[in-house]
Amino acid sequence: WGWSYQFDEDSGSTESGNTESSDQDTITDRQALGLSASGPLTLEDIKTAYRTCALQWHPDRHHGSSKAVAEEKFKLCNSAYQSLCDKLASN
Amino acid sequence: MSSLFLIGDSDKKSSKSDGSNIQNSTFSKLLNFAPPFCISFHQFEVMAEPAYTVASDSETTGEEKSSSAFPEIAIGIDIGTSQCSVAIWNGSQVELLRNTRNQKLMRSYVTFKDEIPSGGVSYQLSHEHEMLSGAAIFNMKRLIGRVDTDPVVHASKSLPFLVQTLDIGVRPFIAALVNNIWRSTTPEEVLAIYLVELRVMAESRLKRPIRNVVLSIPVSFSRFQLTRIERACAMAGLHVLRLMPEPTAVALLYAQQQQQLIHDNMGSGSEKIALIFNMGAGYCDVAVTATAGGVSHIKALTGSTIGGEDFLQNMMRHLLPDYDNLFSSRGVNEIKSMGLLRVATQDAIHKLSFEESVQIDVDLGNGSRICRKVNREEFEEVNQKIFEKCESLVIQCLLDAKVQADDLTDVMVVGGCSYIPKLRNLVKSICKRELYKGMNPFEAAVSGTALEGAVASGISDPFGNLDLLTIQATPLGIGIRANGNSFVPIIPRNTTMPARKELVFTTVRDNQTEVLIVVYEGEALKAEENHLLGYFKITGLPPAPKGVPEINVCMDIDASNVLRVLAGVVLPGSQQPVVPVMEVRMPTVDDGHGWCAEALHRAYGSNLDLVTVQKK
Repeated sequence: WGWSYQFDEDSGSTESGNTESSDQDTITDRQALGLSASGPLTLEDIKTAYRTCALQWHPDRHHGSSKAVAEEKFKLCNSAYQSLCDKLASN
Repeated sequence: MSSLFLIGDSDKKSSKSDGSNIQNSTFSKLLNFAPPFCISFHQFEVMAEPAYTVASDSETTGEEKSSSAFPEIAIGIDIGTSQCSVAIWNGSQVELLRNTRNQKLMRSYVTFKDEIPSGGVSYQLSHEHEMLSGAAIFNMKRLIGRVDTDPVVHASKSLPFLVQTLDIGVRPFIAALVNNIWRSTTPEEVLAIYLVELRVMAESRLKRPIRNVVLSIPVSFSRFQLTRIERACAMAGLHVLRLMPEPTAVALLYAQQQQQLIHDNMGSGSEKIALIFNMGAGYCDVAVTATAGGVSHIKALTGSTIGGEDFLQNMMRHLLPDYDNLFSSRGVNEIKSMGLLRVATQDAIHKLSFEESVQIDVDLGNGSRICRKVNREEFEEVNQKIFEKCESLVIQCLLDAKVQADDLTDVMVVGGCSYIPKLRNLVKSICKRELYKGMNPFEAAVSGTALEGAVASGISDPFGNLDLLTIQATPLGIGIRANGNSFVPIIPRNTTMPARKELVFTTVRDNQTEVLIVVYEGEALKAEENHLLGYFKITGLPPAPKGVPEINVCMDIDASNVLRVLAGVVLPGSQQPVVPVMEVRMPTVDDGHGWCAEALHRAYGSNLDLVTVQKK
């Protein structure tokens, strides 16, 4: 589900504000997982992309200074994964 | 004056699944404007109990990662209600550490017989009954972090030491009988004494100081109970690197085994869905994990405070219907009789896992003697409610994970109760699978914590045996009290961690100048039926008609599982926060929080006195 996270920290997209449509959300979510912004998507694609993100940003993989940034990234990946899966399930 | 209403909650809840934004984050904007207040738990700790100023759950814990070139490998500890074990990644595999008596599984108890307490790691009981003489405290994992109104505490009154309740929501009175005098203690103290012994044992085996640990915990533990575990660890000089719900530790071991199979060209790399059923002496937990490429992604967790102890108590009452009357007082003789019955019943239950019937013959020393045959059907009948609860936990977990029994690749039954035939059968029948045979049911959880200890310490393995990850989920929902006395979850259960979510609330009265944010954890619809984690007030709201101010409540769980609650207020048309954003680390409550919650309900939000009531 489409909780908006602190995307502006990374992308400066604050101006999109409350008008952001769910399509734009999907694009943002896809990008958060490193997927292409459009085109067909299977559950398997999403899972694979999420796992790749997890290996990159999971807190267990970061020690010291990179930890805080990784944690924020991983939160974004988690929410993106959840909303993409929900969207796929509802279609 | 301090009530909150969720703005248009019904609409918003129904829009969950369509992927649309519920509201856009005004939070990030708020945060840029105002430096948040930070109330740390540490301050409360120091005020409450000057004796233990060790900052067990303060900010020092999460950040102190090893910075040296050779990171210390954290050890894994499985603190069971009945038995404990310690394991470590030894450079090539997980190894369980043995005590001086060559045991890998050690009884969880501390005896106060002599002036210096000693625990089951080092101490050799002269006889089983010594543990039941009133001087030994055990089952601390069932008692830790609970108030005296908790049914689990009440059930613990049948233990052969003193558990007394005043039923007002404070800490129960727990004491050991030492030379006919009750020596009061706390579950944290007992656990800390025990953990010191485990640490000393591990240090002597590994010939180095031990500081970092990964502990397994029950799924159903509240965050308040977790702070008690962390405090016990701090008292024992240990730093908690991670707390893992027990079945998720087993899931990590499973992930490693599946990776191993792929390396040996015996398994496929496709995603495997596994269900883990873990029942020990105190708790029953279930997890569903999706595993691929060494990544264990926890899909759902369910758990309850039921275990071998409940089987035992039901059986004791079955064998001696007058149990509660006979043992309502706690003299030396009563404790001795209770102990004798406990040992005999426990023994019979163990045998019933492998035999159809068993003969019990025990002289309770008070004129009554129990001499009879007990068969397995009797045992199953007496404990029918527990088995039903186990079934519902498994079914709920599959449901929460959105997984059908047919989707499961493997099903594991682990823990101290795993040989009970009825349990194995019920799990098999719900999951329509034979049980996985690849792991030792008593060592799986501790092995998983040792793997996580190595992974979280930044250790790698040249053969890829540590290319593992556990992606954890929240076992309980976290939210606030709103809409009267309802519990409104902000982070629902089974949310992948770390996570950050928010909801918007508003005032219920015109010109309401204050709101009280009361944070709860749990699943019950009524706020007070959940675990109270803490509360704080937002003051200085400018006068406005009811329903106008937007009160954003955001919850953030970080990588170290620290929960922070942020609350900010904006008026429509303005992006500026009208009062500084409050950011509070939770839990803030201390022992006696049950009492405190009741006081809150009586005098809800009327004045600040509420904050000080709980302190003892």
